[in-house]
Amino acid sequence: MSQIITVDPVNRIEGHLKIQVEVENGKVVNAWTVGTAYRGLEQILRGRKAEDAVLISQRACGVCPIPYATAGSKAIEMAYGIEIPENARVLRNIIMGFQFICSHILHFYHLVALDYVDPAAVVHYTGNDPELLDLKSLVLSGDSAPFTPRWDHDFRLPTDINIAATKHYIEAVHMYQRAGEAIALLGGKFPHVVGIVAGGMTPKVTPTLVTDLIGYAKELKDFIDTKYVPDVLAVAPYYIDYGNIGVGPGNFLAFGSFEGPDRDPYNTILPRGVIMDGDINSVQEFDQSRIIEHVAYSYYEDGNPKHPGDGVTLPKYTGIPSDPRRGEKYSWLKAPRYNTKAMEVGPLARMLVRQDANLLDLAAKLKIGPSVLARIAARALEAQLIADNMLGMITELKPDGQVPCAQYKPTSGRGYGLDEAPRGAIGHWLEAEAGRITNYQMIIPTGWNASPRDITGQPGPYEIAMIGTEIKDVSRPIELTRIIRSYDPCMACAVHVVDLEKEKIAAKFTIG
Amino acid sequence: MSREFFREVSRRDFLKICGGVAAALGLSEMSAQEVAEVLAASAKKPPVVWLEFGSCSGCSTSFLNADAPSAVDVLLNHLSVRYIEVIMAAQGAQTEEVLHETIQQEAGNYIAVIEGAVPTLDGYGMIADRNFYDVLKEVAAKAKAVIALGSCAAYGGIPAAKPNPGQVKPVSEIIGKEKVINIPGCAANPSWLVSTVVHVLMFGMPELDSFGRPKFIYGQCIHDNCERRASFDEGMFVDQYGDKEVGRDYCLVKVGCKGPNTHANCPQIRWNGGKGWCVAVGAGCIGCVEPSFPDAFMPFHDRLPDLALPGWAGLRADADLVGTVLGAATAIGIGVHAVGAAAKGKLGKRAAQDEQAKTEA
Repeated sequence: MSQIITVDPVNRIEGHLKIQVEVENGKVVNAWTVGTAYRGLEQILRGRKAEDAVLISQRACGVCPIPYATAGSKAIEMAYGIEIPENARVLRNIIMGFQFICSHILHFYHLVALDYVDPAAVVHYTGNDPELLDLKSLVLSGDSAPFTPRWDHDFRLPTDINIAATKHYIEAVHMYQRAGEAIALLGGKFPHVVGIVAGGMTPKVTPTLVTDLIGYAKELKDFIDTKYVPDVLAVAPYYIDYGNIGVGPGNFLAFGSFEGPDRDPYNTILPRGVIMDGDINSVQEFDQSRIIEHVAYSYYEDGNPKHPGDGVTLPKYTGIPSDPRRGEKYSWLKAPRYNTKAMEVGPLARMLVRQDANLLDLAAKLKIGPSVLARIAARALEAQLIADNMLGMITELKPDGQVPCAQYKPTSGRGYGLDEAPRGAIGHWLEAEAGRITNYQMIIPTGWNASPRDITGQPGPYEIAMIGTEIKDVSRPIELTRIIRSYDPCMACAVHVVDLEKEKIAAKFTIG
Repeated sequence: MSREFFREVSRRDFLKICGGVAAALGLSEMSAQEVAEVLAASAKKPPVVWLEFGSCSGCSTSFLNADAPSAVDVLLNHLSVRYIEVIMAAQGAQTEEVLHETIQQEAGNYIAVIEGAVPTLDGYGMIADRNFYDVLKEVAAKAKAVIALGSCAAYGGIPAAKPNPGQVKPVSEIIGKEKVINIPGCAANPSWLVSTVVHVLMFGMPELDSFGRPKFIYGQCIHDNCERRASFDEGMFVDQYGDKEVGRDYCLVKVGCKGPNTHANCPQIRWNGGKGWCVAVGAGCIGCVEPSFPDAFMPFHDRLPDLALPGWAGLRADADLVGTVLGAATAIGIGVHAVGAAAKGKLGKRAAQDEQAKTEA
């Protein structure tokens, strides 16, 4: 006999998400991912000056606004034929580096850790750390919100690891703040920055700035090296079954980021590329003409599956299906596919496309597949990789006291910007006439990962990852939320309307 | 569990209760005596329910950047944040139980923090199959105070920009202005939230301006306190990003700074541990705290159309002229006279402020 289990809201993510699964004999046989909110930023951009997209599109995501600003700027720079100064390229890499680091730290400690780490273990704490003592008295006083209540039936860590990880949970808030300070030096404030503009960056590159950035990079690298990565490695063995739980579609996509002086997206620390059908050692070139978006199960007017830039899409809310098995529309997200396949994007995709030796060695040693644990480990190792490269990036700066921004006159044109957000590949497509946006299109990470079924009935990556999972306690299906959170969902980003009266915009581009 | 409660029970009963607490937490080795000491030391913290609607979660993450006191200190020692989707440990239906329990047990006692705008179309924003607007009404009804955090909750903000695809409204238009404090900003500076909460708890409701914002935060024009104000007065401007001047940080109004039309204490308190604010990085203010943000402030990089620049155009616009030109902006909430006040620069400031006060009244 089968039953439907719903988790709504799925919290400790960004935005609003609901999941439903059909469970038969304790095993998930069917799954649905539901984006439950809609904002429609792209519609807002039509008719605005192209530069406004850099500031507005960031507001899709308060966790990772930087990649929206860089992707939007790149789209304008391509459309208007602008080449940004070297210092601007480097500053963008640096601000992106701090963005990745703070987002990954936030994800592991504040979004994910409470699924594995039991902070109530601090009642056994006997040291004198003031914040841990505060937490201890909080737990003992019975007013331990927001850390209780919780699903506490599957905590497996010994007390000492629980306490250490809890201490680092608190430290991680401070590290998040520190990364935010570094971003504010370059962007003005965080979240949402003004310092990234079409043409380059606005802060002057001074010796003082360089010095400050070095300080922040060093402090964050220390935290990653001595706390974040060791914590992930310490927790993993106790949840080693998650090395084979939550395996996704086996298709991975990365647009690449952190371009070097040659500005070649295939020649960076996080390169562009595609992996298909679980063949994780075979990395192919990316061809954007193979992207198709579906709306068969999404709250939009029906139409044939199309290239993202092709045709008109209008919101059409048809209600919550009384039973998800009935085959009705069920999500605000659309379903992008690459080469007809559902694709996973994010740290695991990037580290596999990079063929990262540390990750592949770790996976071999722990005997884990492209699973929940692999995603969490890939994220930590990626944070470390970026932190290791930050000092090198900062020393690329030439402190000439100038604002590194190319000057230009807005014209007409089309452009795209591809980049990576902490949670995966992000692309912006722009068409502008006399400086005004006639069309704007974003395809963002969680749009891929959290997509619903396509017209062929092929489920999205979250759905594929959930199917086959054994649920120990159907009233508390922590296996499912552990799977979902391992992807680092960003629902607010994912839910956007694609409104293209001017059709075929993205189709006009060839992307290497 | 308040201190008062413990005064009414005998020490023996108290230790018995504490033993129960210890057992409930699985703390067999923890003595009842030890628990009792900790309990007696902890006072009840004010309960908070933090809801997220049509937002980017940026006001939540901004809160994590709180500096003094830190977010950790606030969460551990000052507020009992019962419901906050981004960080709470509870999951799924359990979160709903927490929400309803808090509303019931803490009726009239909790502070509701609302992040994000509220779509008014059915199905455009749901938590546990309920529309955001219904959740908001339920939570607001029994709240002691409602803080509309960020420009989306306060005024509609980004999703309310034309054509307002989700037909979103600000919190105060769904539940009325009574007991709502607006803390706009995109994102809201964490200091604004924390200092407002402190104000509510220690001194009662702060004095609000006609847009429902605490005056102690939003009472002054950014332009008047700007570190680059001297350049403005001397007529020294950045003409385009990337101008080759070294050593001098000129005024940014010609590349679109909206400081003259924007009211907040950003220049004084700055952002992210004081490390930055928008003008400091040479990009300028985008007006993110104003009711008419973002529509009235786009194009973001265009100069305010009616801002006279000393030593540049040599003209000083009067309020009527500004009003004619900025009619569109007026219609969506910006005070004509506020614009005029800014346009007049420093000299006209006092008179214009009075005018603005009249308009608001």
